[in-house]
Amino acid sequence: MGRQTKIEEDDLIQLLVNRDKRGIEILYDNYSSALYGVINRIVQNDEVAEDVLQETFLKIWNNFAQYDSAKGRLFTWMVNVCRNLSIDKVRSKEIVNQNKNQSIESAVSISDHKTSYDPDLIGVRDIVKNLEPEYKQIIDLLFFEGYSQSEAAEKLNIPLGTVKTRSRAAIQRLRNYFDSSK
Amino acid sequence: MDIKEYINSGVVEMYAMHALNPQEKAEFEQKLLLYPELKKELQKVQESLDDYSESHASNPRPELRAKILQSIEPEVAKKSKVLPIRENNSLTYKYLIAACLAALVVSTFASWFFYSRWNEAEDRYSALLNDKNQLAKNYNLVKNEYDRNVNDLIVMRDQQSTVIQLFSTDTTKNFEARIYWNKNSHESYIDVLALPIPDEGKQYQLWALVGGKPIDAGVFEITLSGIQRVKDIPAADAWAVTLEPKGGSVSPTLDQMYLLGKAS
Repeated sequence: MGRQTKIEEDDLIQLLVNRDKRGIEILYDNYSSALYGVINRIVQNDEVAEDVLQETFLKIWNNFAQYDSAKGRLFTWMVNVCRNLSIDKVRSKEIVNQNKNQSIESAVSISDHKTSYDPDLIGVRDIVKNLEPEYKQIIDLLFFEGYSQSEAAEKLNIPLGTVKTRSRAAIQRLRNYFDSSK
Repeated sequence: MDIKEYINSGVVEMYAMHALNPQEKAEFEQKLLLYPELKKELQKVQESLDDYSESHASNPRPELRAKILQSIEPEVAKKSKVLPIRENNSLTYKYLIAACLAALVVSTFASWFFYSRWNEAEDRYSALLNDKNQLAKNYNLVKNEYDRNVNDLIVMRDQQSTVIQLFSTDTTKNFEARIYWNKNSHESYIDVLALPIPDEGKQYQLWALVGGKPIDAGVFEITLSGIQRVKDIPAADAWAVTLEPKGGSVSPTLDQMYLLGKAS
């Protein structure tokens, strides 16, 4: 990860387990940009994204006991927390706005221009722009929009097996990219 | 299925992106425990997704930091308000313990109360049992006395019975007795009405006098309860009572004659 960590992850986890307020501050300083980016990618709205970011930190703080370091990295868990909150938010908004029939994809192009710009992250962001469209599409559908594999197959009008193999290829592509840039 | 084949199917990516249905997810997690290479593969996929997530990073407005961190505070305060719920829990336990103790006190008191009541009842029961036994004894006494009185009456009222009055030979004394003599059966009874209690080693003896000759009719006791049977006497002109050494004498001690009565 390209972030500057002032503290070892184990120590940070210990702070959070002990409900030490410094833990959540360090967490915010280290991860708020990454989480905010994921949230904004999903909810496509700065204002809503700010609310969800706040909910995310509250949830991380309050439900930290649910984090099991044996099952994966802290960041993976936090992305999952903010992803779930974001998808819930989008779906509840979709219910509210169902008459407007505003799909998520139609908002993508708009929100991309609105998100704030971090010069430090230019290199990393390239992958988002340069990833093959069919790879980007499948990852975004499954990971950011919470589609199940069968929903994705239906949406993209491809066989279920192709959803899997294409996802594997997409992530393989990501892996190669990040391995070479480290 | 071979684990490599399983990995190549893309299931790891589906799991990492939360796209599996619950059944597939459970199956995957089970395999995750069995195959270290599956876990390693998952870690790599998650890492790629983490990196990809991070690629979207954008800084939130700087003002948001204070706002969000402050919002944690009330939540902390709320948490410590949640703590009283735990205290409430322990309060519930306290109430439960208090209730248990109260129940213990009540049941101890009840035990003591009923035990003393039981003791009391036991005592009363014994007393009643004693009373009952006493009554039974009394009844037996009365019954015996009644039976004896009835028997006495039968003797006295028998048409064949003759009553002979015996009076003091010393006219200054009011000693008195009666003889009931059955002329058919010759059964003889004495009813002592008034005689002094004899000295130690002495006993009264009844004599029937036939033609001036005394015949031993037996010794008797001083008792106030009814008539006493003595020896059967076929015939007698007169009856006399003398005081003799205990067990009686062969012939009467005449200077110790207390009573005398003529058969009519």
